[in-house]
Amino acid sequence: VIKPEDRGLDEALREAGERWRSARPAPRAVDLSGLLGSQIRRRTRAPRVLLTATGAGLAAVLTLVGFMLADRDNRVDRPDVHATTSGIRPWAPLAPGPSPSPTTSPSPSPASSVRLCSSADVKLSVSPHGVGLGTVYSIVLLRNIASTPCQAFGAPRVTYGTYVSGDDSSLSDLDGGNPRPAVLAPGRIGGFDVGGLDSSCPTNRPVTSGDLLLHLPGGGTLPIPGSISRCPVLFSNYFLAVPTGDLVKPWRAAEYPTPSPTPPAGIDALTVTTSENGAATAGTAYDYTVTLHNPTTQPVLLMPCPTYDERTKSRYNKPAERYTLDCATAPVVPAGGQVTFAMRYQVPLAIPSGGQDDLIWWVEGHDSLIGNTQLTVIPAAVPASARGSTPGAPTAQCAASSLRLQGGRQGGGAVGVAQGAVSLTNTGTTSCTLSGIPTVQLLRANSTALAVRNAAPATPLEKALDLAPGKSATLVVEWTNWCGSPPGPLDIRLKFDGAGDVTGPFNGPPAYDFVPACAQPGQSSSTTVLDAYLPPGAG
Amino acid sequence: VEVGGGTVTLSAEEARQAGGVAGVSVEADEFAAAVLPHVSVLVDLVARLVPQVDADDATQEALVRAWKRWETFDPSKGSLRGWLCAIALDRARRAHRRSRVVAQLHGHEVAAADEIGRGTDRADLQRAVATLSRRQREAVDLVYFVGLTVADAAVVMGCAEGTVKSTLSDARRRLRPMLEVAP
Repeated sequence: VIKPEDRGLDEALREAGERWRSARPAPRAVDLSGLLGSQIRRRTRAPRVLLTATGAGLAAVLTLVGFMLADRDNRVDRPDVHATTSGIRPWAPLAPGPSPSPTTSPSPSPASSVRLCSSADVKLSVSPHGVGLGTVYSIVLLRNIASTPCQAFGAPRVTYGTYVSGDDSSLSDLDGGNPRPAVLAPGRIGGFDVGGLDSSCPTNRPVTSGDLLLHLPGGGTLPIPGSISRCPVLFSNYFLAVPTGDLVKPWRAAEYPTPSPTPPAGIDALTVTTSENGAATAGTAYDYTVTLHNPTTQPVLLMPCPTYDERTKSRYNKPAERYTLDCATAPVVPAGGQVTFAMRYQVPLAIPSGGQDDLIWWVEGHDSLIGNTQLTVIPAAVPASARGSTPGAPTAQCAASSLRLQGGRQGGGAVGVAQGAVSLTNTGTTSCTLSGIPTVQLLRANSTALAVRNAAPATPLEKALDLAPGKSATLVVEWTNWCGSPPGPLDIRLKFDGAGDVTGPFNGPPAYDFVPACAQPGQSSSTTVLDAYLPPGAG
Repeated sequence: VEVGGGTVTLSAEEARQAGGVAGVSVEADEFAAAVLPHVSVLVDLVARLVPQVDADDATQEALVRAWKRWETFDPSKGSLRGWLCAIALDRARRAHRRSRVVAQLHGHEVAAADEIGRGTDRADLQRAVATLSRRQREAVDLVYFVGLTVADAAVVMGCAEGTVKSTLSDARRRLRPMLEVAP
């Protein structure tokens, strides 16, 4: 129960949370294929053909993929039709690119040629202990101080008094079933972490240096240095429960890689421009270019080829498509120079609000590498057989898919109502009829519907209007009695009975606080269609 | 398969194969179908509470972890969402600790949590929330920002629902004068 004096704050916090969530980028594709084998795949590298497209869009994507596969297989024989402009690099092939930071691939058995680390080879250090969700952890790190590589394999064996950590196979579960050998070159680090539940800790005596011993796989014992935890029982509890082996992880070197040396001028020095704004047809491929500029006086190496993401702004809540830049053909951006790459984006079938969209291209984690192209999205041409009209016959009801909606506003909150004039344009190639009163919804930026009742018109409105291709008509919507805070940018969605729905912007920019006055607190807010449909110029 | 903004790429064949791994009896597709609606919440959760780590990576690690622990999930102790959130937060905090240790070893600076952008909060709200105690901030983040129910937040915080409610109430009492929000 929220106290009455806290209600405003509760609402403000909820709105702040909603704003925060809607501004979050979409999650990348989650790849559960790590369940299958021995390791977690940490990133989606291949250009996933995400199953977000539908119908013709999906078919088109698959066709594109098929083509790219063929292109890769026959690279020598077939001309690269996409490198249309001289100096433009073709977009990346489907094959997964090299990982940005190459790691040695884990193997399920010890590397046979490398000796096991003994106590003479490594120096131990311990991270400050951490606490999270009732669990206390410490990370024990081993640095190879010898002059030749050594490896640690299997579960680390740690003893505390008479308690011994186990090495049964259940310990390896955190890394996917197969212990990986941590092959440590001289100076390299491996590690594991230990811990237990602090909720079961009745005393508070620190575990100090020498209490815990690590037994090295190659022989010898080393004390784990430092103060691990304030709670020794934690470890005795844990080690008593060794058969479950919950928190001791197998060795792994890949988790603690030594950072590779930074190149003199990394790709962060580059800037991006994308090709001119353009028009794209929904459901088809849109070709554009991305140019990487090097303003520095040093050449910038692009290898290993970075991955990039592309997504349109209207699909902010969908995963981006991820590809690898095909930089093998241009591994270096010369000092003061530039390299242009061809890109191809599969335009979704859905028409964004107002037919306008932004196509965003970026390399994740590199803030300077982001570019933006404005797209005007044109609906796909409707096949003649689907138009449903023949010369001389009465024109058919306008399908929402062949209408473009553009919101506007008139009137204002001062008179207690907000009126929006909504323009509907026939984007099809034949005339059609606007008839019937659509249901009105107001949508927040995150596509959730505003709690607004859709009221029936006070007087019957049955003004059908024939709309020639390219012509617009107006529908007037009245919105009354909004007693909440301004909900920010709003879209309006019109649902036509049996003819689909169309969505477009309702308010702003620049101001999005256009809401009707709260005339009747406690009563619901409502929308009503006041007039439909006004011919062009009649509004 | 796409649900809740997350995408799982797992073919039926892969799912069948996965079902036979390591004595796990449930089918991977059953698991995938169960967790999919929660993926975007998990990513938001990590992004909000442990902004220093890669939320997608931590979520993926958490899902693999959840898969391996699938048989230990007990619906009578709380919702699936709460259980997954607890695992995701655990994974994320471990990942953060690891990265801190590695960074310290290599002499890198590690940005404190508050120095890292947490999205598009208004600055005043952000500052006010930052003054809350750790538990209060956690409750506010879980319920208001990640959008969890009080019951799910209780699972994640490891306490009773009533404790979450009283923590939230304390947090609001502390925030009110700072934000000057009319009731």
